Parts: sequence; structure tokens; C-alpha cells
Amino acid sequence: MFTKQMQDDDKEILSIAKTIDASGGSLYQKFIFFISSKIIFFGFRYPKLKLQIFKFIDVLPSLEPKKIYRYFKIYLFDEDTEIPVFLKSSIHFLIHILFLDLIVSFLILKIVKIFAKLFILTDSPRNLKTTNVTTRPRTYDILGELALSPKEAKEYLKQYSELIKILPEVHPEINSKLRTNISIKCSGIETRLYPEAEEKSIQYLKEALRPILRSAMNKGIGINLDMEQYDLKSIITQTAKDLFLEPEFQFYQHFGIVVQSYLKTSKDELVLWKEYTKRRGTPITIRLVKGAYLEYERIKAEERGWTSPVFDTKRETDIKFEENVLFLLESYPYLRSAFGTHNLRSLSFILYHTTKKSISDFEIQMLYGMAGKYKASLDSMGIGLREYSPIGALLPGMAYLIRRLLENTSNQGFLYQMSLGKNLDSLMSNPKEESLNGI
Amino acid sequence: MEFKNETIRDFSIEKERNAIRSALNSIEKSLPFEIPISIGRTEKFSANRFVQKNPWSPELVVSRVSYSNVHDLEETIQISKMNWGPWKERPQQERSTLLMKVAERLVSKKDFIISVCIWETGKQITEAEIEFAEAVDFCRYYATIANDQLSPKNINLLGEDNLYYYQPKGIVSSISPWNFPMAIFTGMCAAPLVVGNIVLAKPAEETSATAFEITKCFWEAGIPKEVLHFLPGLGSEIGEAMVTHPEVAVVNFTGSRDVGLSILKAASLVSPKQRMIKKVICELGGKNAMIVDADADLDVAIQSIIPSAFGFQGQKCSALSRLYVHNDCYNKLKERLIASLDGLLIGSPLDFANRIGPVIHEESYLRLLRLQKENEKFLTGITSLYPKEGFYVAPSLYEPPEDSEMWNSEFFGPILAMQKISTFAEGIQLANNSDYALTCGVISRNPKHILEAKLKIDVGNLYINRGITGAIVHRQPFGGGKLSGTGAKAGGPDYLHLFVEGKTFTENTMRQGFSRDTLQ
Repeated sequence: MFTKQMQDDDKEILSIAKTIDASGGSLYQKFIFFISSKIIFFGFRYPKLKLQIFKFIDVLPSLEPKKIYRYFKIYLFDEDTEIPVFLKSSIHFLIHILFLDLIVSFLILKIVKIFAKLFILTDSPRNLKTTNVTTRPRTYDILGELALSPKEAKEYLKQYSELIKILPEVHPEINSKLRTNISIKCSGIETRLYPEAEEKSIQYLKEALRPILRSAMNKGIGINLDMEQYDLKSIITQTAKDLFLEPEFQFYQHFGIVVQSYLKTSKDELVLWKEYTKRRGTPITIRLVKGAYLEYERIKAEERGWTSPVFDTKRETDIKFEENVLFLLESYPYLRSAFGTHNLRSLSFILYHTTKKSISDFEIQMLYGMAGKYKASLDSMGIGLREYSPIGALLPGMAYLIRRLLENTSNQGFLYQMSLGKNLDSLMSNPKEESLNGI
Repeated sequence: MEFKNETIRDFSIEKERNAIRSALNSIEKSLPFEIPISIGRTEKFSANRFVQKNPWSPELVVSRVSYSNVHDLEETIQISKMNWGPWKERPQQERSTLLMKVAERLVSKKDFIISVCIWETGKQITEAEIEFAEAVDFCRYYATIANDQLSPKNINLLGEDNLYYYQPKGIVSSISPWNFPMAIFTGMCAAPLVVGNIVLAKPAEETSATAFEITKCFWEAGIPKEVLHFLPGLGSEIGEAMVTHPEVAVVNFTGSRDVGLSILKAASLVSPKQRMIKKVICELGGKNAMIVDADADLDVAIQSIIPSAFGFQGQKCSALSRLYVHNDCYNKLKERLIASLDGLLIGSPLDFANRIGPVIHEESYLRLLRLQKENEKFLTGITSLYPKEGFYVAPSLYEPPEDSEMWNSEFFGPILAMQKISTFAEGIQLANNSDYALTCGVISRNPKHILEAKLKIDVGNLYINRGITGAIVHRQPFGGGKLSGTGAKAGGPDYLHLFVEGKTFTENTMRQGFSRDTLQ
């Protein structure tokens, strides 16, 4: 049942959404927004083709450049997709008789690299120019292959310390929203993380993290521990709790952690974090996200015969996200909020409630290369916005690229719904409402 | 009946970890386990005992196992013959229900059984957990299959009734190995029992305590002691007697190739009082290969190679021992593999962070050290840090020449050989170039190559873009051909057929031109 109050809230949220959607950035950004929604629409109309393209992009980094076309043919022309057979065979025929294999291979590589470049800030910390650093508050993340040995983990650690060295010192009085921040993927810097040996894993991870935290703290840089698959959640969470309480770190205000709203336990986590910060006496930042390993969690749960730890529907996740937003805001100043979302309804919901509660110390976080139009709108509205900015070689960063592409082309995604030409009102509906719009 | 795989515990839950840890720690004070011989309702100990030392602290004796002998066997056979009738005549559903109860009984004693197994074998905790689940799966799966698939089939005409049904074969000797003392032992007893056979269980000497705990679960669930006997002892003594005894109908063996082949030979000789042709089921070794293609995802490759080659110290018949890697990614993979090898935590399984434990016993340990020494000049990577007390053999990677023994003999240890290939087809050819045909792996993202692998690689279990061990009951029926065995697929729909014989009844029901059906 909907109360009058909730309906009024929803009306307000809709009007904020309209403002964000309308004012949207430069002509260029609007153009990009339009183009990406068309591409997404295309991707969704041809799901088999989309799957093949993603599989192809996944294998691309392992291919010798001259073999690229050969694989392109196998993945896109030989497999069953929505491309008509005559088209597939005639394109192949043309390329073949004109000896274009090499040129096409090169072109494909070029195109994928351009795509990757859209989502990856730069290929190495060394290339971070100071000018680049100051344009927008960022949280930096280092991409790469999985760390599968202590040696590889050490290389990651080295890149993080290099990054910290390169980044300029942060003025102590700076507004939290503008403070430079680094996101750390724990499984990248410590490979010995095993759920069955949680206590030891925590000990290893703490040892790996301490030097990073220390040097970041010395320069006034914020540190955020990313959350990964469910298997590691308990280890990462407990490590953070232990570390942030150590005397050396206890009073540093710029540590953060992630809570994933797609987890059925997300609300309980927040409650625990609030109790924890009361004990710690210094606030921490919680980045509330919807979650990034949805398919993975479902597959793993099925394989093991476990109940899936994540919600089954996007709607339930959205409902939980809004509940969590409210809880986080109510937990201020113990918990400082950072909201990771590109969803217009979620954004508007957040803005409405922060205004209502007169909380200004919060941030919106978006991924580098996504939702440029919204970012511009939020900028013009004076809302703090931080970009999650990956750094790493383009090709090994492919797993990240694929995650972004998947996210962008998800049929549940907001952008896709927009691209279908659905009107804003229906897209903005409260997820709690039994909606006929299917999102 | 519906089959569902037993779930693996979620170790990120503290309560789960604590439960298994306290069970594991409690074992030491009850050592050594004294393992009896159990013949029908009598239990006895022999003067001569086999001693199994703890693999990580060899000064500790884990179990003292009574040797059973020919006389014990004779006694067992007499009891079995008297008790077979009522057991085989019980309705299938009853026997299946009993097996389901065995599964429950096992589950209720899970932490203890896993702990005994770890103390006897040095198996790592998650590996033990997975193995235990497999044991439970075997009981439930065979119970379900027997109930659903082995019911009699009628083909009735107007004047003729035909009935096709399955009859158990009789006395089955189940001779099982030490590397999967929970799963394989349970499976080898459960399958013949559920369809109405008598089982003489001979566990491996090294893991008799684990096997005895499991056998008790069978009895406690209601399987009569007269149809499941427990005869521990030496393979060369009681094992051999169980193969050659004229009343034994089926020899169900899992173990080494040499023993398997000698069993096949011995069982083919018909002794004077023997009135049947013995059936032999052999699941033997493997010399398993993996092919890493030029386009492989190396993250996936390494995550598949390490546990397949070194999980349970390489002491699995499905373990990876031959690695064929495409030129294009050879050096990169090798470098990452060596780095990864060096990061492996080796040590006692009591510390759950350790990935690799000790090998089973001194004999194995010395044999593997000798092998490592002999092939030292081909060594490319080895885990350098490991405890010096206990039977620890460092996981090692070699690049032997083509004519080396490393490509042919089964080592049963954490030893992996790798070689460069220039085409995927060459990889297939090399993978097939083996006496064995158990498991094989392919890491590739070329759909054409994957298809080629499926068509051409001659193995029982082919795994694509994942590790090559850890087959799960019902999902991946397990077993191979060539010299890897007689082609049984444990945990698959056909396995039970090995323990039954088809029988046909045909009855003419016509009398003087009328029959039951025409008269109506």
C-alpha cells in the first residue's frame, strides 16, 4: 500500500530526475549518450550476436594480431547469430579474395582498443599527469590479470605504491569529496585468501595492506577496499574492521569499504558497520553499490547447491538499495555515504533524501567512461561526484571492459530501457510499486 | 526417489570451521585406532598388525590394522552364503531406503569421519570435504538409480508372459585404494549392496580406520553385518585370496595398474570347485594430459593446472602429469606457473591455509624423492619452502625430453612435466599417445579446437577450460578406458549393471486355445 507521503516523495524524485536528464552536459556528451543508447539497443535486439562479440573480445588479448580475423570469423560468422548467412558468407568472401585479413585484424584491434580506452583512464600510473589528476575527484583502481602467485601480487602492490608516490599530497583541510582516493582489490595484492583459513587469510591480508594504508595516510590519500565475490566478503570485511581499529589507523578518517546491495545480507552489514564505527570513534565511508558479480554468484551457488546469496530480481535489489540509502543517511555522521550508481531513479532518490535531511557530506560515485551526460548535470547542480578510474594496460584489462559492456547492455539496465523510448515517468517508478513496466 | 548432490560446507561461516577444527584436534588423543576384522557378527583382532603412521608426524601411529587371512575369508564366505537369500529377496525399494539411511548416518558423523581421514592420509581440508560429499552422493545416487532403473520389465502378449529382471551376482570383493578412502570405499560397497549382493570390503591398509568408520555407518543404518563384511589386511594376502576364492563372483578393484592386471589374470583361472566365470571390474591409473592452446586464458590455465597436478599431492588417478603448451604462450605460462608454484603453502593439513600436505607414507616419499633426484636436470620450477619433518615432497615442474620415462609412468606424486607444442593437433596426438585414457584437459577459446578435442581425444573424462580432477557423482560419471580400467563409470547410470545379471522368464499362458486375456 502506498501512503500519501510516499507518493509525494516519488513526485519529487521524478522532478529531480527530469532536471538531471534535461540539463545534461555538452552537445558532445548528449551525442555520446544518444549513440551509446543506440548501440545498447542494437546489442539487445541481437542477443546471440552480442554474446559472440563478448566472447570474441574476451579472447582477443591472447591472440597474435595476425590471427584476429581468423577468430573473428569463427566467433561471428561460423556460430549461429542473428546475422543472415548470406551476409556472413559474402563479407567473408570479400575479405578473403581481397586478402584483407591482416587489415581487418588490425582494424578490429584498433576498434576494441578505442572501446577499452573509453573505460580505462590510462595504461600506467606513470602516465597520470598532474593536470589530469585535478580535473575531477577520482578513486583509482589498478587493473590487470588475476594475481596467481606471491610474485604477481607483489607487482600489484608495487604499482599501488608507485601510484601513491606519484599522486600529489592532499591538503588536510580539503573537502572530503575532493580528496584523492584509491580503491584496492584485495585478491590482487594477496593471493593466499581462503575461506576455510579465514584467520590466517586475514593476517596475510593485513600484512599486505598495512604499508599501503600507511603511505596513503602520510599523504592524506583516502583508501577504499573494494568488495569482490561472496567467498571473500567475510575475509575482506573482517580485515578492514581489524585494521581500521589498530592504533596507527584508528583516527584516520579517510578509509572506506563497500557494501553490495544485491546481497541479501547487505542491510545487516550496514547495521554492523554502524556499531563498529561507534566503537572506533572515527567515521568511515561506505560505498553502497548494487553489486558486480551477480552472474558469478548465481553460477557458484548453483554449482555448490547453496542458496544464492544475492537477490534473484533487479527489483528486489533496487528496493534494498533504497532501504540501504535511507539507513546510511540516518547513520551519518558515523558512516559517510558514497553511492555508486548510474541509475537515474537511484540518483534522484539519493538527492531527494540528502536534501530533505540536509546532508551535504556524501558523494556520488560513477565509473570512468559511463553516464557522461548525468555527470555533467550533477556537476552543474553542484553535487560532488567521484569517478572510479581504472588504470592499466588496455588489453589485459579486458575482464573489466567486458564487465562494463555487460553492465551497459544489460536488458535490465536503465540505459536499455531508455533506449526503448520508455518515458521517464515509468522508468522513475518506485521499485516497491508493483509496476507493469517490467523494471 | 530424487537425487541431489550433497552440498559442500561454506567455510566462510565461522561455526562450520570451528566444528571441523575441534573434531580434527580431538583425534590425536584417541590414537592409535585399533582396527578389527569383522566377519558377520563377530569382531576379532589378529596378532599381526599393519601400522599406519601419521604422514606429517611419522612418530605418531594413527592406526593398527588387523591382518585378516584365508581362514577368515572362508568363514565369511560361509556366513555370506547363508544370508544372501533374504538380502537379495528384499524388495529393491527397501534396500534403496536402507542406502539412503546410510547416507544420513554418514552425514551425522561427518566431522569425525573427515578428521580420521585427514589424520590417516594428510589430505587438505577442502579436498576431504569434497571427497566426503562424494561418498554420501554415491549412497544416494545408487539407491535412486537402483530404485528407478533396475525394476523388472514386462513384455506380455496374449498368450505369453515375458519378464526381464535383474538378479544380483553374489559375493563381491571390493578392494579399494587409500587415496579416496571415503568416496571410493563407500561407492564400491554401496553399489553392489544396493542391488542385493554380498560385499567383502577390503580397504587399503593405509586407510583402514577411515573405512571402518564408514562401514560402521552402513551397519548402523541397518545393512546386516552378514552381508557386509570388513576384511582389512594385506593386498598380497587377503586381497589375493579374495580374488581367487571360487565362491567370489565379482572382483571390484580400484588401484594400481600392475595389481589390476594381475587380478584380471588370476581371476580368469577357473579353480576346481568354481562354478562361475568371475567378473572383474578394474579402475586403474592415469597419466593425464592437459593441452593449453595458443589462445588460452592463462588465468584459467594456471587455476586449472595447479590444483589438478598438485591437489592431494598429485595422488589421484585423475591428476595432471603431462602438460602440452602451445608455443605462443609457452614462456608466459611457464613463468607464471613457476611463480605460482613457489607461492604454494605446504604443510600439515591441521593448518587450513596449507594447500599441499605430505604424501601418504615413507615408501611413497622415498620413491618420489628418488624420482625427483633422477630427473633433476630437467627441473624448471619447484616449491622451495616446506617443512622438513614429515613426508613432504615439494611440487615440481619438469621439461623432460620426449623419450623420458616422465611421459609414460604413473608417479602418483606432485610431479608435472611440460612440453612445447606448435599446433593444437600435435597436442591431441601427444595426449593420446599413452597407455592410459582416464582424464584430459583442454584450455582453449577456439570453438573449432574444442570440438576437435571432443571428437579425437581418447579418454573417459575430458574437461574443457577447467581442472581435470574432482568429478562429481551424477554430473560427471568417472572412469576411463585403455589401461586405465575396464570401462566402468562410477557415479554414472550404468555402474549398477556391473553387479547384476539379466534374467528372462517366459511363460506360455495359453491353455486349450484360451488365455487370461482372451477369456474376458
